[in-house]
Amino acid sequence: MKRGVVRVVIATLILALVVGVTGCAESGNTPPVAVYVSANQVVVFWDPSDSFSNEIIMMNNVYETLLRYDPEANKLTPVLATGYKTSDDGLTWTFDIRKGVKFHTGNELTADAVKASIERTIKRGNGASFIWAPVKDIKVLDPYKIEFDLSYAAPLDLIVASGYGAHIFDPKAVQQNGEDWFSQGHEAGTGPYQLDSFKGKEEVVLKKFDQYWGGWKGKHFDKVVFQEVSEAATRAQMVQAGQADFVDNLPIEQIERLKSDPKVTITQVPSYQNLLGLFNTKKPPLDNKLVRQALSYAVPYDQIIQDIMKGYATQAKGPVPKGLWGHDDSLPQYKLDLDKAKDLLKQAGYPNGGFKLLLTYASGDEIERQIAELTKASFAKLNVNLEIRGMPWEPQWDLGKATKPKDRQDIFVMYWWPDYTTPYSFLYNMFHSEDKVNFNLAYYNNADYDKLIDDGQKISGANRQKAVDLFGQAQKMLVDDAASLYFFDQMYVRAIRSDFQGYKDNPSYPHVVFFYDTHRGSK
Amino acid sequence: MRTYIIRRLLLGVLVLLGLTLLTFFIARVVPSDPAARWVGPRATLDQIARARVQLGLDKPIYVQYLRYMADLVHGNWGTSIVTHQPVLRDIKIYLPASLELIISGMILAVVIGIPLGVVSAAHKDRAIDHLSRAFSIGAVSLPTFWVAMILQLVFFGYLRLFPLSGELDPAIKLAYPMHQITGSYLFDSLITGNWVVFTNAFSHLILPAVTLAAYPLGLITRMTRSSMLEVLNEDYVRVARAYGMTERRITYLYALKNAIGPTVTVIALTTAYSLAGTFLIEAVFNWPGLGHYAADAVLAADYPAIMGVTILVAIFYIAMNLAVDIVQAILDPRIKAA
Amino acid sequence: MSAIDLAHEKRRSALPGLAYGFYLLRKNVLTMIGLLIVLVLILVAILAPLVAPYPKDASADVHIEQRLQAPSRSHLFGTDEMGRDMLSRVVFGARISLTVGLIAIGLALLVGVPLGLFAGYFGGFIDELIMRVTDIFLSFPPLLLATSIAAMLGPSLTNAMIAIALSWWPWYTRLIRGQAVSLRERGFVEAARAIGVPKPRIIFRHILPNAVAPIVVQASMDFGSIILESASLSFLGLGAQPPQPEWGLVVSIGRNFFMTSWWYVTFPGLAIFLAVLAFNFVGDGLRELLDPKTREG
Repeated sequence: MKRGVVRVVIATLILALVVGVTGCAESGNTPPVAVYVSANQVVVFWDPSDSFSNEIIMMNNVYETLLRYDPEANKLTPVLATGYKTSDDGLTWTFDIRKGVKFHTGNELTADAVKASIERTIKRGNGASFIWAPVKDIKVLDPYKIEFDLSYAAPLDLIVASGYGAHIFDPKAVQQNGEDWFSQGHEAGTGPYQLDSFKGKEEVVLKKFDQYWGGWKGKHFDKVVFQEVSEAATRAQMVQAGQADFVDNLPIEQIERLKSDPKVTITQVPSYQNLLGLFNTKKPPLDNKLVRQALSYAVPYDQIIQDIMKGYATQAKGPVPKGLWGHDDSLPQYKLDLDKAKDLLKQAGYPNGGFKLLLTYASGDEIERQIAELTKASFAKLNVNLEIRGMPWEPQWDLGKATKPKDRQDIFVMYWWPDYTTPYSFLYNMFHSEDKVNFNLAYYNNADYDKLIDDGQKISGANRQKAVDLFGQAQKMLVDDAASLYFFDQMYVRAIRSDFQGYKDNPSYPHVVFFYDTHRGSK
Repeated sequence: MRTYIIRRLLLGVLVLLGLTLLTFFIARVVPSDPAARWVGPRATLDQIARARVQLGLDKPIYVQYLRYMADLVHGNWGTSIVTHQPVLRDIKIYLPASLELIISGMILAVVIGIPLGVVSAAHKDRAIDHLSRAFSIGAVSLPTFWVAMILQLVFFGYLRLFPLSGELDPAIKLAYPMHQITGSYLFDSLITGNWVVFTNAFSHLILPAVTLAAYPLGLITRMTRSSMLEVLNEDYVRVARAYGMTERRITYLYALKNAIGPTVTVIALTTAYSLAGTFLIEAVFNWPGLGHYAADAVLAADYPAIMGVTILVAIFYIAMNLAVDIVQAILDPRIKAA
Repeated sequence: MSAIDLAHEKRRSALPGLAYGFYLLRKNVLTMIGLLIVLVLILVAILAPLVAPYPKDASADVHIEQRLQAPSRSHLFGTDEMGRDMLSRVVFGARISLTVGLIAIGLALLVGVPLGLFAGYFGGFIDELIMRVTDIFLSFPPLLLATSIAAMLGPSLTNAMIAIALSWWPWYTRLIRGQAVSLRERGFVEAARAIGVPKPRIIFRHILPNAVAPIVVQASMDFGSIILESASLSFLGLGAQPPQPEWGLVVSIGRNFFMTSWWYVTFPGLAIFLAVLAFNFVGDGLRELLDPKTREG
């Protein structure tokens, strides 16, 4: 009996080893499949009208927009619209709709469908639907011509190109199957790929849509898989082992390690995402501008960029990231200068520091945590006690919105990226005065500032240069007021398989891979 | 016997009811707004307010609870705040992977634990006994999340023997689309004879299963040892010894049979607990199981999902408990009499 | 014989004589090893500032230029991603883990013991009610309950202790109730009742002292599990907050680095394991000591 058990154990172990070794071996003949591995939930919302989260990565392959923005060339490329015209006052926009486009449902794309799609998104009022705020009326001029009437000269070409809330879907699918049909895990797009299967929130498989208007002549993938893998080490390993074509959100350490692997290519592009630490401008001692300035001089920016980010970021100049129109390169930057900081604290009436502050950041975000710890150590030199607390987003945000200002945090660390390609997203959401707190977690309240950015937004469709000017003045105010710590403008760094080709990062569509443009090449 | 079972069933329902109340309370007073979570991280205040009404979160908490319970009785387990899918559908997706992991881990624990406990008892206070006790206490003292990482480091990082994590290589999954029967890749591939998928799934299973096995292994060894010691002192064992039966025959045939009861209880209850208690292991190994789902739900204050998992686990636990008690009552006349 | 004397007599018989007990413990190698480790742990925790080579690295100091260095003579356990000495952090971690264990158990006892006494002494409806509530708590997977409560209270070390206590008390209630039920019928309690001693006095002066020994034993046996549980909560981000050198938290952060820096998770994890193991060794020895069957066998 005893010996029997031992034998069974040994046999199992041997089997395990054999299986382990063979199981690890890469399978040779794989069909042309691309795998996108992300740290986040693949799908939050299935409804293209509601989508405002990670699912846009998948959705931009299933659905399409009228135009697509290429920030590098600063031009808009036609997708579902073949061309468009603007009136001189920037209030009337006419789009020609592409002919011969089929939805995955089999129905034809028409101007009516475009109108119905956008109107449904506006009506539902979820997700990023607010991007359509300037739209007053949508008119169908003929089956392939559509006109938008705006209430002010907003940049509608950029709005229709938004990665969120601007997808065109087959409205008949909803009419036939009910409003909740999308949410149950269905789609009705025009994109090159259609839904094959999905598993919970963490895996979606797409297959090619044979009747895609762009055709399938060139080299393309037949299937695309989107997977959620929360472990960074696993993501890194998957791209190394050839199990993933595209991996995001890797810790800098992993990236440094992957650099030396010929099977992996590291790409980096400047993004429109930046990291800020919003000061609570309504709560002592941070209601004093001098204290905020002092602390702005006490952040070790260079260490953050060099040691934590390993150069995959640049110190921010104000709240609008470099590369995005409206960024002002002439803005001053705060640098680490503890003497100056002490001086300012003395002027503010805190000669020896001696106060306590609470900084909240997103738990699980390694970069934010390391920056928080570094900042804590640096503030300690001013005798300022910084408590740092990692929290999931909802409680962090809830604390920021607490009814009593004294219950709120002192510094709110978060990333921002634009909804569509506009600086107004940064300037409005985080710093425009609010009756009820939403994203102005600096609680900044400045009528002059509000006017500058609102005026800028209203003319940005007709006179971009004037808008840039007004936005620039507003940013100078923010920097001088030190309403926030401006940590860095991030670079998106991804690890891709070296034989994954055709991929081009487009910061207007953060993290999106347009898989139709990619194919498996030689290494 | 029948009244006993009925009494126990009624008590079980009562406990379950209390449990839903407690869980609902804990899950709903979390300092996190489910409505905000529902509409996503970039929502406007207006959207959150509308979601609050839509989800019924504007009502007093007791109304929310009663509404939830009414739905539950009608088979509606609610909709997850995170996945926006019906909770029951989510559970069906994540349960098979959990069961696969738990069952393999428990098999491992039983196969090693029981013999080890018996050997330990048969050689009480000898070196092998000390070793086995040190081993069993060591096994229950291990931080599972740490063991998981150390195994990954050694067997993946250095030796490259086993895959790092996951349930199946994505390439294999796509190259061999499988008809889902039970939802467990291991089991489905075995009965359909898909050797490639089976070996791949098996190699993914080994490290998590070993990690999971550690704790029950310690418990089972300890329990088997102590109940064996108890039995080995009983009169009938002494009689058997006096009759000249070999010690091996006594140990394995008579004593083990009578000593196995408490061990079975431990196995049953640990299995029930493991259903959602393995989330640390599932998290490190990125195993798409119920524990992972539950942990995400807790961290996201996804109360319908928390409720769903808790109720499922509690039903399972209460049923296991009851089954064990009934089986033991049948086996052991002393309990029946009492 | 007065009730008090009876009580003392009872207390004495619950445990074997102290000297004999220690003799039995000494025979048990594992327990002695456990005791030794526990003693070292306590010493390290108390003397942490003297033992740790860089005490400041356990709190706010940062030396980012020496991040993630492998173990060397100046940093025996290597450094972390902030360039802090891992050995110093592990040493200070002992302080946190031991304190958390003590407080969490104390809180659990504070809730569990009185409830158990009431249930056992009064019986009837109160008993039924309290015991069903313990049933409810015990049908949760233990860590899931603590996790849910910790998530409800918000992430901090204090809240983690409260969460552990709130998930742990039913065990003590059950234990104490059993003791109280059997003590209730004893001569000295009946005598006290007969001469009109008020109920709270009977409960706390006569029954409680006699139940102390099993509580202490059980609590010391649980210490290891509690340390493990608090480390798990911190691992999930629901306990200690950076830069506290709590072991579970350090391992959790180390998840991002362990494939490239093996020392990062190895040493704090080993510390958790050793601490839990030591307390479990001691607990196991106590269990053997109290169980006459295994003692004599």
